[in-house]
Amino acid sequence: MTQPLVEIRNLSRIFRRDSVEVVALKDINLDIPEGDFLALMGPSGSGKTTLLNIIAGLDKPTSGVVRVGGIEVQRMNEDELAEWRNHHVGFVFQTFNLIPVLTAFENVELPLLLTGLSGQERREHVLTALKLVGLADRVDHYPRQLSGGQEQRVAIARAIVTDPTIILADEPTGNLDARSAEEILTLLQQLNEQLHKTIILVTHDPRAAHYAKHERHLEKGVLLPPGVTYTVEERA
Amino acid sequence: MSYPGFIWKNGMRNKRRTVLTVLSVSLAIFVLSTLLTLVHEIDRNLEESNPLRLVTRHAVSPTNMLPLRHRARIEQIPGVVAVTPFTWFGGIYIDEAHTDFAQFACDPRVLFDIYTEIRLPPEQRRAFIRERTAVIVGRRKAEEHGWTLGDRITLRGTVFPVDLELTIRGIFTGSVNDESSIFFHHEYFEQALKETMGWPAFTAMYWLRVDSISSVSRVSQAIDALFRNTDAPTKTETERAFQAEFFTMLGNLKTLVATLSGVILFTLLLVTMNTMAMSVRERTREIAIMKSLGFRRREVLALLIAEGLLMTLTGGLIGSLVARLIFTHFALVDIGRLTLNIFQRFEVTGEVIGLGLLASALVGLLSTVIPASRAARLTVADGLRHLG
Ligand SMILES: Nc1ncnc2c1ncn2[C@@H]1O[C@H](COP(=O)(O)OP(=O)(O)OP(=O)(O)O)[C@@H](O)[C@H]1O
Ligand SMILES: [Mg+2]
Repeated sequence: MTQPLVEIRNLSRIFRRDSVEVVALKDINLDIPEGDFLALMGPSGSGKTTLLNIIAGLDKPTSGVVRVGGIEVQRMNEDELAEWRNHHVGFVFQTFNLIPVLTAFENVELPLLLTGLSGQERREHVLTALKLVGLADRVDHYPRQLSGGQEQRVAIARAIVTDPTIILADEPTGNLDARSAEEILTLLQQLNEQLHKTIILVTHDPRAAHYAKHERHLEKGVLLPPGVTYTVEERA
Repeated sequence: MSYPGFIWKNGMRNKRRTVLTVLSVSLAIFVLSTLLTLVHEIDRNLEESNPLRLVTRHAVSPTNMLPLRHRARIEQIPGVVAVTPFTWFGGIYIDEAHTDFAQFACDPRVLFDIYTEIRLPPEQRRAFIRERTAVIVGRRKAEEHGWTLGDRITLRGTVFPVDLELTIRGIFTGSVNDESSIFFHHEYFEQALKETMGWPAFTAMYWLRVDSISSVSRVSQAIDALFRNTDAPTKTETERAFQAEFFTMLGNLKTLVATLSGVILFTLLLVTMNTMAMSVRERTREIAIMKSLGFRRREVLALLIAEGLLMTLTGGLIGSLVARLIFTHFALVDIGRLTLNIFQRFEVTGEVIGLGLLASALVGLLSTVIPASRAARLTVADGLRHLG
């Protein structure tokens, strides 16, 4: 694999509100090869979510280029981006991932409604994904009937059900107790090792990083060189 | 899960709010259907009027009476086919509750030349003309009151201080206020007033028919010219103009109805808009998540609008169907009594139901489109920040 799956070149993102400028990302350069499991770490406000959003085309960089699978993400219009996300990107957020009025099954089925799959085909895909995350017996449960860890597993099932190129997880364990967090991280590791999914995991939990193949650190919008850890400041 | 299933589940997420919204739409559309039916019934009454029929009444006010001697002079005007004196009696039959029909004194010999739509078997017609105290009744009222030929009915005068004893000699079909009026001899009415009160003979109006449309304005001008400088000047107009004037006497009903309908719809729009805005705002984060899954702006918009439409159309359907059931199907409300016998029928037609549904669809669309498009336009990144 010569070309990396994700190529980030001279990426900057500056937020302007009135006269105040916040440099969220400063001149980022990063290659992520296919099949990688990268832990993106950094203190709060260091720009982790901003970087993830830009990779997924949810936000536009102020300058620089992001290519995913050879496609320049910021070049696409909104409709193209939506379709591209549906096919290539799976998301897992920290909290409130699920639509509360839908069952686990229906939540996982949601992205498939946009595809041309038949009801029967959708059903098979959904059940496979839910089985993969170990929730085959919670198919008809609503989010409020699930534990936080189970909710995150449903979110992961939804992220993989379209068989995306890359999975982006923004602090998926941030709201979980240690044991549930471990389960989620193990699950992500399995997806990476057994199904060869490329995963970017944003976290500020150092333990979480052990499950990943590589880790990179952000500090005040700057991507630190490999092996350099951000300075643990006022984190008591 | 299908899209309709998804829309349904979203609509049902806050059941109380949904039910309240549906109910307020139902109520508004119920009132709207009622108002529209009122206008529709007025139009129908006006349409049923015969363009060849003219009404002559006192120029000053319809409560001023005309002398009977006018009749012979009107009859001589070329183009006039028949003339009858015509007085609305307004008596009480048994009691107020039973008095649900209009009562007219007329000349039976010419009545059928003027009200050509009345259908009456020839032998009943002859019996009616022959007997001074005879009365003919509309079939609808005969059925409702259980009247048969030979029955006697007494009308207690309220407008005129005299009681009339009448014998039913005919049951007519055709129309004249949906077969719900009764007709008797003007001469009997005159005679009764003369005998009990010593009053001279008079009539409230003359009804006449002309031979063709081209005679209408010439004849009416001729009549009014004839009596202009007498002590009983007249005003002659077509039946339709007369009825239209009558309805405007009740106030400018159509403008009132239009204004009321507008106010109702506008209020409904505000209420629904508020509900939809709330319902969409609560879902800002969910919408962002859907967009992160690949839902496009227009799909999000379509889902939300469909949800709003589902709610308002359900309300609209309930409101207009309930109006139809109450007024038309089960006739739970006695429209005749409620409107002093102006309306005998109050039919919530398919057209009215269609208009009600159209109005509720419009409300659904307008109230959803603004909050929904705002939510659909929000970027995923901003939407996700909502409520962390
Ligand atoms: N829409 C925005 N407008 C203005 N400033 C923003 C916006 N989004 C992010 N920022 C700023 O950009 C910087 C990086 O934010 P980001 O959300 O990427 O941090 P993070 O590393 O994900 O932090 P956390 O660990 O708390 O989630 C912060 O200073 C933040 O205030
Ligand atoms: Mg973040």
